[in-house]
Amino acid sequence: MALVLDGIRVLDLSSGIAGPMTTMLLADHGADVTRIERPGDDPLRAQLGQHVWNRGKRSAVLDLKNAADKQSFLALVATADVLLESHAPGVTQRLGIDYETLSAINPRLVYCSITGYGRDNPYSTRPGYDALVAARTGLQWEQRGRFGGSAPHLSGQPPLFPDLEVAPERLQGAPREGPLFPASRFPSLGAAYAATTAISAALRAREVTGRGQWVETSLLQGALAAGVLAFAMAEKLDTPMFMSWVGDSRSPKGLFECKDGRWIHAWPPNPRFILSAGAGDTLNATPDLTVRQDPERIGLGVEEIFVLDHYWEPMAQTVKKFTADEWTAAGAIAQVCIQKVRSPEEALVDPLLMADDVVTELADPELGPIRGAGILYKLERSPGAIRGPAPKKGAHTAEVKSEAARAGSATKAASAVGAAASTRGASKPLAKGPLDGITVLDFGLAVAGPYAGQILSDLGARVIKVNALHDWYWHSSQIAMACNRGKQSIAIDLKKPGSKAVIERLLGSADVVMHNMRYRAAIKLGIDYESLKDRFPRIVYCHTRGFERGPRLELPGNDQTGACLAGVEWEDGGCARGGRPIWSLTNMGDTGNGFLAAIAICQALYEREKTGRGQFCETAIVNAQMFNTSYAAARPDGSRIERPLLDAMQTGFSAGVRLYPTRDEWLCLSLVTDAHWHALAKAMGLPELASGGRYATAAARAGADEDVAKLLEHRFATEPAAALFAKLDAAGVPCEISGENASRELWRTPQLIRDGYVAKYQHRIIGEMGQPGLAFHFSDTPSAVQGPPMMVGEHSREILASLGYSEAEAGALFEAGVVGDETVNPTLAKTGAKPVASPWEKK
Amino acid sequence: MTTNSSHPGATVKPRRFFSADSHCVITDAQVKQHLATRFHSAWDAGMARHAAKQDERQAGKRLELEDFVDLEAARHPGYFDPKARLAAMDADGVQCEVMYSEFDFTSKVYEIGESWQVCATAYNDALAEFASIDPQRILITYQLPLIDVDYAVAEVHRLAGLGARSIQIPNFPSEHGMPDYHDPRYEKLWHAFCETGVVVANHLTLKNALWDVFRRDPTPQKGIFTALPGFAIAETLMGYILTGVLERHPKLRVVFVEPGLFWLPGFIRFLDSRMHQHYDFPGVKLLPSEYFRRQMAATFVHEPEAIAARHELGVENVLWSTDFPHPCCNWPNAAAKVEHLFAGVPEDEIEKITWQNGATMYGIA
Repeated sequence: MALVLDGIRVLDLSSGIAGPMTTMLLADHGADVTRIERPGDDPLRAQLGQHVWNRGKRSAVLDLKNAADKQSFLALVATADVLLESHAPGVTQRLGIDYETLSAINPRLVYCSITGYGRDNPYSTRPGYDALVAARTGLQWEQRGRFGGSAPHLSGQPPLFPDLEVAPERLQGAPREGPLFPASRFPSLGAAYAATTAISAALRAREVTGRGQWVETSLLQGALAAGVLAFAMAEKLDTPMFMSWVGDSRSPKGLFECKDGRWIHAWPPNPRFILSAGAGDTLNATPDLTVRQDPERIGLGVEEIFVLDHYWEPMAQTVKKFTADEWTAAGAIAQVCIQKVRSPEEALVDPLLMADDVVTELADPELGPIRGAGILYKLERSPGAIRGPAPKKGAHTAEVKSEAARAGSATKAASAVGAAASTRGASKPLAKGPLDGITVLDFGLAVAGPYAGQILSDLGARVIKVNALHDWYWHSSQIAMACNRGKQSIAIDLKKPGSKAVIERLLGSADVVMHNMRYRAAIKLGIDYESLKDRFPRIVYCHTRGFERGPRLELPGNDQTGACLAGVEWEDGGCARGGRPIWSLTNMGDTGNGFLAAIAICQALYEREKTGRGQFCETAIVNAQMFNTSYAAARPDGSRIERPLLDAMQTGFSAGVRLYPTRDEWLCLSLVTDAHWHALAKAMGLPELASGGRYATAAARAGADEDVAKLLEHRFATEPAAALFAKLDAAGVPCEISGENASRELWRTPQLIRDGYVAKYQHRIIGEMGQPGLAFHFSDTPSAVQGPPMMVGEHSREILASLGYSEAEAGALFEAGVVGDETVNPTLAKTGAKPVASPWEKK
Repeated sequence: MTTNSSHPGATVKPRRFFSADSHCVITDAQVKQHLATRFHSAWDAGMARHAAKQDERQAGKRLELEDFVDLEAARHPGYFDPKARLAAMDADGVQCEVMYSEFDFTSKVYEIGESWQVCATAYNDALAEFASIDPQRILITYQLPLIDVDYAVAEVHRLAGLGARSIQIPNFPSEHGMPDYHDPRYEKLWHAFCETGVVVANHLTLKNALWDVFRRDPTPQKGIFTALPGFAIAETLMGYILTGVLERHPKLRVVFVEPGLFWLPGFIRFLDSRMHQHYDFPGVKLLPSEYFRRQMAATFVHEPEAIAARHELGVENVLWSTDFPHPCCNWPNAAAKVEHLFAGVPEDEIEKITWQNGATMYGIA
């Protein structure tokens, strides 16, 4: 079957994690990906995830410092569509493979760079390893939330409820103070999502303009994307309904240990369901216990922290009466989000994930048969296909070189085509970004759907959020604002008969329709794909879900259920080494779903530019979470293949990759090579670690990891972090201080604001606010954050006008209550006006 | 009183109708939305095998769609789209429809092979989604293969949890190599139906042996062949009554869908008479007509004989239907056709047959 990226030739020069993950997604949908690998050992290539990420690619070893190999490489560039590299800033110029040079050879080339921190800011020269980026950005401090809330912390305001004390066993995260080291490679994950999105959008843009361009992202942007819910800065934090209890480290997060010693995650942790269903000797769930029917369900407000705290003890005791599987089954009956916390290995042998391609089996040439993350999004006409296992390094060197030799003679012709093409699209500059000219109807709910719309807006699309009149309530919250900036909002009462005609006109104006409601709800609204595709054959329609297709399909799903199923909470809690599961506040289930949806939509738009046809595309939160744990592979019987495991205290993977307390702050190391260790030994005066010492080699250190860690712990404990950092950094040891206030620095760094990495803007209600900014940059079709989080109904009038409604016609729609403007929000309502009551608002 | 446009001058009483038999189409794509990707090829292959078998049975002759459906109704988007279907029902004054998907999945499922269970579950999930537009109006009949009785029992309970009111089972299990319904292995299935209150549906289907008639039928629309399936259901009906299934499960409720009411009263009378002859029916304590009245019902479309038969079968045991969009379909003239068909019938009996019997049987308040 033809796949959407058939014929797209990708050269992947990257090392590390984000690059290979990016090209995995491209290869799964038909791209012909060739890994161009450096001669010599690459310790990062040895990690288990590479066996998953590099499946279906070719591997050629080329030494770009060698003239013949360089010649081969340049010949390949001439016929390539995409190049991806992850060198430190400046290196590509030195190698003569920078964007300027290569785009002159091939103007249609989409050139993607993944750096640590971008090219031109005070962070740019810092080492680009996940743990260190997580330390530098304060991400490690956001794992369990902040005392008194994430938003007050970033905003530099006092914590909420400073006197509230919570028993330590109720808190998630290791029983200690300080930052937590997440097992999830959040900066790389965010960068991989961003790079794949940017490449896909640039391919669409290339169909319009005829030209490739330079697209860039970084681990810094990846970390910011992961922190999209945690990083919220606001001037008026006390605005009603803005803050929630979620960002407070003291709020219980719904993780409970069961009778069988396994854990469940119930989110949101509604007391009524657990206490009622578990009251007797048998677990008695009924559909009457749904959240919607719970008058005392946990709302968003900060004060709910007291309710949660009050009910924690009885809930914990009740959960303990039954097994995790019993609770999961009970949740299914009552349509409550509950899943068992599992390991990645358990996920990889889950027959339901396997059956829907979310898990795949690979015949790895080195490891034998292994299971890994499978096809993670699908298009109607591109269901994805895995071409084969990951090759051994250099397996295709000869083949690729001879291909280059053949291509070399055709280079000139290709350049001529490229040059001709480059003039073709001159009249269509895509001034707003690679998706300029695209109108998106966003019917998304909560975070997972709307976040996709926000990404499309950041790519320059006009995104119309179709809101209910009462949505102002949800959109007043920090969480909603994190996924709805830069959109336009029209508020419609879909129960009113007159709304149908408005929706019909909206559909007529749309290129993309997307939502994450249950499909039957879309049928009810008349916006299911079957109802639209014949009338609007150009529409790209994206539906995202909580779960894979199969028996779990109709269960209510969220970030947490996906994190449970895929092994994210297990890993981030260090459960394999005796820790307790944790739901990280920088989890990328919802947002990963949004990215995968945006990627699928961009690729469907790319195809539409060629064929004129729209299509259906889909993904799920659990798919994103499987991407997020794709560093793991398992044997087909579910047994573990050796890989780094987080310790129970959530300090890190090993003595060389972990957090250490110093006399004052926390120091994070990420040592990769022996040279790093020897530099550390020298700087700290630790001969055991030096060349010739007891722990000089990786094998020796691995065999005595705890001893090495103790040695360093002891050594670091007496000195202040700043002094240690100065010494180690000067010696070339990859390290950062994991600063409690590091995240605040990001919004105070002018270059980061200038380049849009972090965004600051004025919001009509909460004043100045700060959020993570653009996750990607485009050289030729630059995009920008299009505006602050929209207010519900704010753009109703202008949208109606754009749909051809006269002022009188629009006035009649407002009069009849079919459409509302921003005054549906009582804060913005004129005196005497009646605000629209929200069914979710607590009376 | 309103005037019906298709019968100028005729006045008809506005009514709300309960149609006990109508149809919708579930596409392969809709089923696949509920089916894990790995099984899509098994589904496609199964449907292809079924189509090939069908071709073989028809020996190259076609039963054209226009011979099977009312063309105007079948072109209505409501045949495929639940939202449009509600509009079609509104246009016809039909409040509730018991709906059967095209065409008899319980016989197609045997062609799927080892993945039949997940496919059958996904098929029912697609039916649930179709009905979800308004489960109080679209009373979807789920489809239950009986390849594995334990699966069937679990599926009855699962579907009941989804709000199922009726489930269709094969009329002729022996055609699929299964024992007939008196076999002890089905006891737990009947228990499941009784416990959940879900109605057992036996919709008229095509018995394999009838395809021989099809091939020999020289009439243009296969008029001999198409008149026969109703009679074949006599075997199914006798199976429930004369082997004691209904005696053992007095709460079991069985509906026969469009069997043809012109022969049914005489046939049941005939069965009653045989209870006094030399035949033994161990464990059967009542007359067949008594079991019928106690536990069975039959639907009809626009059939004057049904009106004549109503007292003998029981006014409570006959259910009016539109059969949308099949050939004798009333749509969109239900009110006028009912007025005509029920001329002279007391109002309370019309109300029962066109509304209350169905509403009661299928649990509509």
